Amino acid sequence: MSFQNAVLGLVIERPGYGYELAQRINGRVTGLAVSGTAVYPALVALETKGWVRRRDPTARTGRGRIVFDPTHEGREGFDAWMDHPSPPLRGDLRWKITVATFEKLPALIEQTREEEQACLDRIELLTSDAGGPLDPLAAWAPTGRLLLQRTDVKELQMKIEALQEVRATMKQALRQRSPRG
Amino acid sequence: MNRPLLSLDRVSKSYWRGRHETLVLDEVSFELDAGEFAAIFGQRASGKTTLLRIAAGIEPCDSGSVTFDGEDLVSRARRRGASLHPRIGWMRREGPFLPSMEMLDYVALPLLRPLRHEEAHRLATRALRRIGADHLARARWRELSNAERTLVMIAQAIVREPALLIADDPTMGLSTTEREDVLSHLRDIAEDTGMAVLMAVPDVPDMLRSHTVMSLSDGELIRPTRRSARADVIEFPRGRGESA
Amino acid sequence: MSPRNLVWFYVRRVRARLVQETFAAVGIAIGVALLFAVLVSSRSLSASIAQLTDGLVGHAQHQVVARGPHGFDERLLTRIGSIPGVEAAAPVLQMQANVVGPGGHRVVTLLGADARLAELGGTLLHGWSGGRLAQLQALVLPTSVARPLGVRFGQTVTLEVAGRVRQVTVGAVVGHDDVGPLAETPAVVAPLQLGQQLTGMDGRVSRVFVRAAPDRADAVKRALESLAAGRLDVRPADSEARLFAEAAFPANQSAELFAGISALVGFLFALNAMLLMTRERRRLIAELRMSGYGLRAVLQVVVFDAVVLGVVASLMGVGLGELLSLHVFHPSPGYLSIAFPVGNGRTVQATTIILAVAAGMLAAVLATFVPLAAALRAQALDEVQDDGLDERSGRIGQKRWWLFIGSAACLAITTAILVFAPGSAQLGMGTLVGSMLLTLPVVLTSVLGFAYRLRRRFKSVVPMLAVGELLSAGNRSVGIAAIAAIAVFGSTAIEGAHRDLQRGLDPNAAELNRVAPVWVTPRGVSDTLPTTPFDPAPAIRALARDPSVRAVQVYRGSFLDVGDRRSWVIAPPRGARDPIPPTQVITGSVGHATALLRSGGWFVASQAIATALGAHVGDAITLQSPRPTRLRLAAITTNFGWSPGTLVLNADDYARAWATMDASALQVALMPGVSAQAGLRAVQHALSGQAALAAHTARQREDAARATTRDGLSRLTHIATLVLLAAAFAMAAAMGGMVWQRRRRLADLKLTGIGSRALWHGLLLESAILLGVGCTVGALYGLYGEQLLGRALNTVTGFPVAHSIGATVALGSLALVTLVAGLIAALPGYLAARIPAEAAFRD
Repeated sequence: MSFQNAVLGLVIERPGYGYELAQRINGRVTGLAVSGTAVYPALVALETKGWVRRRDPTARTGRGRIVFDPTHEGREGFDAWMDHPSPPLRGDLRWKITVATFEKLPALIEQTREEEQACLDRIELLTSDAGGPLDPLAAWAPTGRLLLQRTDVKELQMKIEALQEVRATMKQALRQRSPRG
Repeated sequence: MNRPLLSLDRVSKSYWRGRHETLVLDEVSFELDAGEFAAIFGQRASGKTTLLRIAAGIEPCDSGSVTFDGEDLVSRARRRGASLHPRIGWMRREGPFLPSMEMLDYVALPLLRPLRHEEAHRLATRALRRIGADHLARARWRELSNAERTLVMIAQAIVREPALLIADDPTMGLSTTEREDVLSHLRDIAEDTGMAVLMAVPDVPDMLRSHTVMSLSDGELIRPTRRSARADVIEFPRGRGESA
Repeated sequence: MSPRNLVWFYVRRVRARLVQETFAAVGIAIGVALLFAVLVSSRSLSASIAQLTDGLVGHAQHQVVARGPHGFDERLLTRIGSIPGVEAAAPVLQMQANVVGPGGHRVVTLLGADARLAELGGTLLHGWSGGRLAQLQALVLPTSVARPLGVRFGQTVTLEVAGRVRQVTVGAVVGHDDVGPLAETPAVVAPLQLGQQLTGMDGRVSRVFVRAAPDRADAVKRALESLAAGRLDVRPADSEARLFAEAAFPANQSAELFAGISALVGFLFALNAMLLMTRERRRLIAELRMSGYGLRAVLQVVVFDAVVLGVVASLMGVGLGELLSLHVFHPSPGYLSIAFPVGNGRTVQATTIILAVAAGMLAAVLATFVPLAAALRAQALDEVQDDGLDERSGRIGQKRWWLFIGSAACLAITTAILVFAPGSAQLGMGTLVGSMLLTLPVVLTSVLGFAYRLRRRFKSVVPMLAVGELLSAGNRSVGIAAIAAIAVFGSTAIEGAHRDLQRGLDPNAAELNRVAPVWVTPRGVSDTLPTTPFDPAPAIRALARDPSVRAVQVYRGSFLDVGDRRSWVIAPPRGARDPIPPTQVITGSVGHATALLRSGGWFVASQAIATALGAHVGDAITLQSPRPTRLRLAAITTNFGWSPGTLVLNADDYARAWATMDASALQVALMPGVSAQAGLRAVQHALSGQAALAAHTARQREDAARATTRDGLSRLTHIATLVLLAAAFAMAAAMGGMVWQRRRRLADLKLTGIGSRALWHGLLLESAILLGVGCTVGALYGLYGEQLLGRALNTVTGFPVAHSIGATVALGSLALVTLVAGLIAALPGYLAARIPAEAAFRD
């Protein structure tokens, strides 16, 4: 879902063909090596939904490349995805950040909040059954359990910290654009 | 519903440095009930300490209201030379001004004004015992480990049996087992005495003993969604692998 | 570091610690100011004498001086002039006189001189050609005399001299432009002949100054001595200054002791301010060293700090001292002006400034280095990790025994001095202060330790706060208590000794004067010590006709130079009731000595004079009076408050030895039933034709004598009060600074819920403990110091001193310092206690 929407976002940004779209994704997201063939299934699925369409074959460039353009429905679908929170703690926000435009920042800021809330929900869930003081000598099992819990929430901490940074940067960018704060 | 012990409503605060205004708290609101152990996570310079100071009524906020037990803490904080509210305990960091002071005397220090010495000592012993540090009564500050110092400072903060205990990073400089020890004591204090405990930590794992968790960044306080219906949170997020 | 960098660095840092730096500078400045003012005031008197001497004698080496007020025949001058090797010889007639003008009256030294004096090279008659002076039948007045009297050139003044009253024209008023500093001297110059006419001493002179060829000086001296034939004194030309130094010695000694104590108070103030800055400086040193600077650079920075502080503080101190000396410490010659031509001009000598500035610099350097000595030795990193608490306080406890032993040793030395060598009072005061400063930390820590043990008795956090803070800042506490101790010590000791002295002098004044109900003396200051001769015959005749007068007796007296001492000669009439003041006899019996004195051929003398004459009781000596006379010593007395010494013989013996029938005073006995007041009126009526004579009751004379001695000693009271006030301000500033620096810790204590009131009370209790301990120790040591000083004054000066324990003075000083300092320190304490708790988080 999210990858599809990210590809849609790129098409809306500027119409393109499969390989070129893959190059653009790789230019923005590090650590992923998206091949041209990986983009096609997403484009096909989007075309099936009627969110993108192949450009008129008469306008072919001569090298057999098929360029995709966004449809009106596609634009509406993309806006709906960007403006509304996706289910929390999944990769959606990541892709949204990748293809965001300045106008989308307020919505994204709100979504980082919701994402952070979801993290806190999980932490609070884990807190409910905290036991007595940690005493490795008395029994290892509760100690091990607590250590694992700590490790798990440490991952959430990283996520929270990352979200906070993203939000702070976005807020700052908005503030700089409209200096009255 | 009983009214909450402490409530902060749309509290804002900014600092000026030269011509630069830094918004430290941006319309922060939360409530704390008696017996509740709440933790606020925040990274460095996130405004945790400012929030705690405003909650303790020792620093006024720019706008918004702080109510503790029905009393307006903002106007109290604005009074010049005001000291801490008698029903609020603040966990300090500084050691005694007299290096040779015994810890029992030091813990009893806040009580010496209203009480006779014997009575103050009795309560100080009780406070030390509550956090399992009664063996430190005769010790001196320079002989104590970091963990022991932390316990002594908690004992001093609760010796007046306040309704609210505030601790800023109580686990600073401690090992994991020491942290868990201090945190479980704080939780016990909240649950056994009905004292509300509000602490700020820079590490999420240290929030695991709390009842309530919040996070503070860039002046914003974020709270979990289902605070009132904790038991209902059953839907474990799906697709965990995808989130990594 | 280059000088430029040092300055730059200094300016950067000084802004951050301007307040402390100012404390230190003010402290040193106060010490310097007191030192400077006291030195100026005591040296001005000597300088005034030295100026007159210089103005008179020029290049003369010798003088031939008459032993009595009647001088000698001026024809001797011709014989002096014919001695081979004599280049110039100038006669001078000298007598104390009273000048009366429209603006009041003034006691002056009347100098009769002629153009020959100018040939000696002195400045007094510089520019007066021989002819002009001789033709002038008028007086030359210095501006310092003419102005207050409201007299100008060409006007007439009344001159009361030797029991005569004359109207004289003022021929010239000379100022600084004409005679330099001599314009400040109370000396009136008359042409020699006019002077002789005015004083009724035709053909006589008081002294002849002689300038000999440099290689013939000794030969000339021998020739002069043979010419003097044992009836005149041959002395160095500048011997007046030496005589004065001897007379002024006790006053100067006590003033200088006081100056020392005030300098010490100032220094302690500075040291305290430095202790406040110790941490800042230790950090600075640590940071310099951590930044890779060597010891050399660190020392440069520290020395530069000290020099700037010293220079600024010393200049401030000299300025402040100048104000003090102008407005508070007037050089007051007191009764010394009776025997010496002492002016009240102020003289600021270069050495005074140098001494004051040097003391200020020394204080600054010591104050900077003492707290830093440890820091320079320490590891660089130690100070960076300083946790802010003064852990050194523990050391006082460990060193307590050593301090105690040192203190006991100092006290033992003081006691030894008191018993065996009371003359070395300066040293004794030094060791006593040493003992006190060593005792203070012991007492303070003991008191604090005791209070700390008592802490569980109190239902209050206040004692715990106060005692805890004092214990944790041990050095600073001792420093502040030391200021209190030294101030109270100084004022108790000196003011106590001063009162003992006054109490000793008072009965003496009474006994000397109550021998007759009414006295007749020449007008002027010589009222107090009757030493000016006059012809008594007309007055006696006039008095004899008055029905209320039972008898008139002739009293004689003058000054006689014995060695370097200008002794006061008292010659009461044979029939006087108590020719020797009964309480003033030290060796011998009053009754026996009185009988011997009446019988004639006997005298009594004060200790110093007896020693100078080499006489023991019963010995016969030849008194070097105008007509040398053999007399036997009947008893030894105090010096009746005339520090150079006194001689008493009966009026008839005096007449023989001084070859004169003149009187210095007339003692009038009244008919039974006539009160002193009625007698006084009768005498004044009888003397209405004798304008130059004044009559007083015994009571009036006694009061005048007391006022004169008090005037001379009042400087001590001024200094004592100023030292106390300075110390009170110093302590208040030091305590205020200490409190102010601690505000962050106070704010932190507020986080435990302790309120402003409790904190303020804690701070007040702290001040009270420091002041209480400091002042009490100071007062106890001060009482001991009073005994030492009393004995020293007694031994060194021969003054009659009434030994007592001046507990009221001690309590007064104690209360004053505690109150003032406590009140002042309460304010910063109050402000600091109101610091918001939130301040605990500020950097």
